[in-house]
Amino acid sequence: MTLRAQFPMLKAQGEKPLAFLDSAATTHKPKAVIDALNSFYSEHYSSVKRGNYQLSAQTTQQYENARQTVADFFQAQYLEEIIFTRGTTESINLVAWSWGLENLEKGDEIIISALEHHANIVPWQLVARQKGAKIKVLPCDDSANLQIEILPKLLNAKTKMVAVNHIANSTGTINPLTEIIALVRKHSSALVLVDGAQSAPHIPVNLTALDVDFFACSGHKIYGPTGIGMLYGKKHLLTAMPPWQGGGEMIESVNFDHTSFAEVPDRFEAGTPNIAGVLGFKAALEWVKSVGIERIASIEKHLLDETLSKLQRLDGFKLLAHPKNLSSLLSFNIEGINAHDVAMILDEENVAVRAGHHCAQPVMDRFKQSATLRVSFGAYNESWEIDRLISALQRSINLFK
Amino acid sequence: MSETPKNTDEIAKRQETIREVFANFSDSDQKWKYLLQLARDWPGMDSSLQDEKFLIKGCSTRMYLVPSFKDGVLHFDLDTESGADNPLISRGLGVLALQIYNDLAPAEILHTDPEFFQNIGLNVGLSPTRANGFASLLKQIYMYAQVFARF
Repeated sequence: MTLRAQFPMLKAQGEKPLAFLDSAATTHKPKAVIDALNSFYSEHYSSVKRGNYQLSAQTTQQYENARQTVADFFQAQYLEEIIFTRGTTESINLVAWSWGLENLEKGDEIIISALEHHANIVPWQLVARQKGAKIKVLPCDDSANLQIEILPKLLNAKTKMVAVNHIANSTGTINPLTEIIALVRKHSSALVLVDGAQSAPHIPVNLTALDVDFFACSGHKIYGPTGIGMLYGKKHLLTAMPPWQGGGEMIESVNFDHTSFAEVPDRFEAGTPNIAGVLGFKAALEWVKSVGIERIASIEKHLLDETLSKLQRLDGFKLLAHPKNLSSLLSFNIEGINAHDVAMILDEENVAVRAGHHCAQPVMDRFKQSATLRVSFGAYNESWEIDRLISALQRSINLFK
Repeated sequence: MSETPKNTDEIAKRQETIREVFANFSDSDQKWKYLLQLARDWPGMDSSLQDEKFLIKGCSTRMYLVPSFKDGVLHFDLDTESGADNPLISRGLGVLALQIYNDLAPAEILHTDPEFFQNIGLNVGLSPTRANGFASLLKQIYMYAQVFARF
């Protein structure tokens, strides 16, 4: 069975079957994930950690097994270093509000990169404003490579957090995390948070080897359900952090004068969690593991190379930037044609791409564009989809002549 | 606020003209080329009028809609970003909207069916954000009509 055949949504239908080239926004789900969700709701449904009955005990076991799957997949050292969240955005907010409110002081500095998604900018701005901290930006060059030689000059005793993405969603840059983390450790005592939304689905991530302090990613970008994601945090850091949301299952004891909080990870999972999402996330990671992340990376690399060489033959094709290490997406424009206009023609051809600022307006400003077209790949993409993209782009170019 | 509009014949006539144009297209390329032509022929507005407060919110591209109200008639000026970023299809759709709505009494605008554009098949093939952008333009036109209907 081909990889694509495992995705019910992508069964080719009609004269112009969907060419789906927007996996950086969200991925489709393999049957294994859909089956896991179905099976939970139709055969095993119950809540976790609350029922005094077998069914709930079994579901709780499955839920904690999923935590183990996540910890193993990303090679975390301890089970309790994995917190289930709604996704990358919530994971970063958790750190900003729990760790940030507790630890930031007036005059402290947070470094973010010039290539960040709004989700790794805005939470820091909000907490910095509240605490009187300052945001500094690590710039990038004209090819969208971070200028890490500048990083030592930005780091000092006041630097408390360096928040950077692993792969930039707007340019596809694979950032040199190992070098960045080594520089941070050498020149400061700051913590490092990595937004892994775009790396988890595409390249192997070994959290222990990377030595990051926090790492966030989303389930729906790695073939899992929406509304589920994870935060990894080093055990000693999470243990010292206060809860950021109060509710059920995150406490040890409550009376009206005082509440003492549960240990991690429960402390950070207030309320009935997204159990189906967690089980679907587990199934998704197991699916990725069964295919092999290296195999996925190699499929996507082939697609990327083929697409880039075909795009370069089009009149007016202009890549937003060509970083040294490019992941599985291409952000570009056709000169003289507005990206939204092109996307409308592509949509008529049933070719799904993203047009816009990709929630990374500072990146668009840096490269003096208001929008780009973004083509991105998943494990299921095939060569015919690239041909459909190219012919739809050619049609747009002809129309706008 | 809304007395019976005097000019329903005029609106029906405008709609019929557009309906006929679109009915005569034998393929989708002709539809796009027509919108591009409308966009290119449109004079736009003096850049001094392009105030941020006239930008249409919720539109994925930058489009200005400036109302002026004189002798009971509501007039609109419309423009989009100039240069390479000019969203010509949005602009063309905007021009088409003004072919229906420009220089009418506010009450007449409020009596015009906003679903008209859907009924001529224009939304077919438009991406949701685009459809939303156009919807934002229509919403803005009706909002101005509501405001000026009070005068």
